[in-house]
Amino acid sequence: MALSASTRPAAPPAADRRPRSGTRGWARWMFYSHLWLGVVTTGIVLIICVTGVLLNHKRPLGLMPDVPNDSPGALPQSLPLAELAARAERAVRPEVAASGIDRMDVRPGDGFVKVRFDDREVHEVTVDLASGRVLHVGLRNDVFLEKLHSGEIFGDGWTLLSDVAAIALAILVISGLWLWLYPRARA
Amino acid sequence: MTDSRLALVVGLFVVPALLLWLGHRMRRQSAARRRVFWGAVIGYLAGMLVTLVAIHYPAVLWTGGGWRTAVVHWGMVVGTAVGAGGGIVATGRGADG
Repeated sequence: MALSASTRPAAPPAADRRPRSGTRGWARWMFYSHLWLGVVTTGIVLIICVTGVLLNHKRPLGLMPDVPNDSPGALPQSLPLAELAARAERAVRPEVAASGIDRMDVRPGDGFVKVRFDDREVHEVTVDLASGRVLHVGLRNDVFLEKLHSGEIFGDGWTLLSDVAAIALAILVISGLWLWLYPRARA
Repeated sequence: MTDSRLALVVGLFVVPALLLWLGHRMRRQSAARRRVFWGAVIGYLAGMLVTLVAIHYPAVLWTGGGWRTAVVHWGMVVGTAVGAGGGIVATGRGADG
């Protein structure tokens, strides 16, 4: 049943409905931090998002080689590391070999070693531990994406950029939630 | 820091901050200034899109010269400048018409 104008409870005065000044100040801070952080960190957050998705699916997307070894030999039969490194260096172009070896990732269970070079494209040669046969030569695109994701690609100190973006994202989420829960607090 | 690297940092952080600052009280600005502003915003967004593609494809470090390196470093700054230029041209045509 509808209430008549005389029986309807009176609305509180406008001054009473207005949020307190402390709440308003907090709301303004939330709004402007959401606005400024959202706009200023758009580019870096997008880069981190895209690289994150690509890294999650690096194998299906072919961003790193997935090499099977049908007949892995026993670890005691392995060739010396120096010999395996030399075979990997012979499998790539001279300029790639000249860039030097970044790391050698030995996989005893799979019976191979992944020799990663320190070149711009990040070549990787997979060599059978026992026979020294080159199983695969390819690019490790995921290394580039990891460095881009962490900010390391710009230099050592630039990993802080990734931290700043992560903190900004956390503030954006919190301030966005706050603005959604208290939409009229800024009025 | 090289000029190119500086351009990338400016494009990532300084340009959007500047655009946001210029965007305050936009309704009080003249139609010509609004056109330049929106041209710069559209140019920046287009430049960011192109830069994002150039950064990730191919997934290999960009170094040295070449179009890809130039787009990665200068895409957002040039996009903003081109967009603002487009806004100025549109303003001129609007005044003529």
